Amino acid sequence: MRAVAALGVAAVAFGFVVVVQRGLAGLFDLTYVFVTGAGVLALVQGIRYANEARTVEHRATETGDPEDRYEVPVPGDDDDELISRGGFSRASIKRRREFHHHLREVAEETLRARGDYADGEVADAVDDGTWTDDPVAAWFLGTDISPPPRARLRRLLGADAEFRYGVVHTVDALSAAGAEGGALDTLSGVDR
Amino acid sequence: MSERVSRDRGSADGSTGANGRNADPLGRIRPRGVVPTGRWTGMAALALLPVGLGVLLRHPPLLLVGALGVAFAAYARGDSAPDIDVTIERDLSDPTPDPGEEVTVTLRVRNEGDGVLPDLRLVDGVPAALATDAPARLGTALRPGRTATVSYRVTAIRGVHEWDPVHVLARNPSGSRERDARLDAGGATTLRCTPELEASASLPLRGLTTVYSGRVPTDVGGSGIEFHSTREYRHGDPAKRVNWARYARSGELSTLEFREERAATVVVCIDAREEAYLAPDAESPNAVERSVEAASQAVPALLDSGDRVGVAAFGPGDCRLDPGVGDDHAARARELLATHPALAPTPTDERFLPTTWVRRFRRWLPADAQVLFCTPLPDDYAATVARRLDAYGHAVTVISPDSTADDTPGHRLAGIERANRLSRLRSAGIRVIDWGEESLATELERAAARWSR
Repeated sequence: MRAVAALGVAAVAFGFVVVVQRGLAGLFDLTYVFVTGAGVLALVQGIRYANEARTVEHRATETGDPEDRYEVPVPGDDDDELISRGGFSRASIKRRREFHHHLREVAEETLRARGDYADGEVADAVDDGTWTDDPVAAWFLGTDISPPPRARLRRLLGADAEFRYGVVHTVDALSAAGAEGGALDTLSGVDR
Repeated sequence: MSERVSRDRGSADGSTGANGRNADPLGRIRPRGVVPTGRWTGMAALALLPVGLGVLLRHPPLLLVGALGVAFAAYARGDSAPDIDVTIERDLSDPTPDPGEEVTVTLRVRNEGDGVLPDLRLVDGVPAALATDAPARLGTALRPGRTATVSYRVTAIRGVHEWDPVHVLARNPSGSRERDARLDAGGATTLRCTPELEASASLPLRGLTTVYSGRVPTDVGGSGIEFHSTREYRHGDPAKRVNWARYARSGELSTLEFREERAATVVVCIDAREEAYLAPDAESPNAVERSVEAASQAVPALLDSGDRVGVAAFGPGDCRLDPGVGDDHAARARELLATHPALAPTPTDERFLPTTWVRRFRRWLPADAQVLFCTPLPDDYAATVARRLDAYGHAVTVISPDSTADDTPGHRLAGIERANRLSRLRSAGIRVIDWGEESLATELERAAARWSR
């Protein structure tokens, strides 16, 4: 690279000298081949530079948005990110399984808080899906419950679509169960 | 006051990586803070391609076009990044406003150098907790000795808000290179907003009390208002407490006992962990801000009724105020709630070990102290802390600002989990105030009516 640069500098210097001493130009025979060679060289280098310009990353310093107030998360943002994520990676399958397990724990605790099941009955109610009127939520958290036709349709679209469908229905069913529980709490004076 | 800053003081370099090392290999050979934008990369092609084609096609005009390309390439390469030799001053219309007041911030930049700054951009370092009504940035060309100004307004919120250095970018006329620096501004750089403590409706406290008289009814008979029992007359009992009706009926002297009312020691504890910085949307105050608001109402209400009040933050930073009474104590509490970094409207990066904190807090907590725990209950650990303190004999009351939303499945699930935590605490005998959108005073009145049943 250094030799090429030295050659280039020497060639340019020689060119300037030729401007003053025209006679030196006679040292080279400016034949058709020589001039064409110089043209090809210029063309190749030009294409090389043009290609470099095409691929180069234009940079500018990021200034951020100091005008906006610091934004804190909304409780449940992490869950939303998981629910909306697609893909079949091993990590996402594992996380979905953990989330499913967590959702079941929340369901059991919600039913326990509602107070219309004895402690031992809660797990059975979730297993056989009798805790809700929503067949999708019952299937999603239950064991050995066949999926409703709409859930089967979602499965055709992919495991993530089926998972999302099940989660949305289950959370809605839990909201309804929790709201009933809240009403019961107030009526029975549980709230101290 | 102004501060002169030369180009050598540019502290931040656009090419510096997160690990502190130079992420750009070119950084070693170019001046610090100078970023080549790459905007003119490939200009040499504009010179060489026409020359090559001109030679091959034997077309002299193309050679002339090539000469034009050479001129552009030389312009882009030869133009260096301008020196940032400027003075920056910041001015706040009121550095100590009340909450909600609008403060006008004026930023002035003066070119102290000898050369023109053809493309100068400034972005002010607005504190993270404040939002502006207009862009806090300026883009201008500045001749030597000239000044440019930008103004914007911020709405004051509780806390001490420090402005970061101004981010300054200067580009050469061709835009091929830019210099990047962060410069300190002279003048006001801190906004201090200390709200007054405003007492809410009186707080319904639990039975744990001190030996001092106050307003919390106890199971001990003595002087007070509410009837407790009668006992045999003892010499020296005041005549007004003698049960004269019984004396008239049976001729026996007896003394009326009333439920004694004593003062309580209350420690208001605010959950200020990073996990507690939650809000239902971008516009609403976050849960830590609401918890501090609850504490700002609870502290004066308790002090007014003669209770001893302390303050602590369940979060990083040693934020504690020993229980006390009096005006000086109220002033200290106000200052702490308004300005302590542990209770700032934005979370700190400081490391926090919750189990160690609980152990230390218990050692610090007076044996007869009740705890008013302000927490959004973002996780099970907050509920565990409340239950543990209650189990150790410190009657706990939880004020829980609701920071959940119900617009997405994840948000709704978080709301269900929080409701379950509230339910679990209530089942454990802990008083809980679920603070929604209504005022705290309304919620307290509602809770007091429920608890008195």
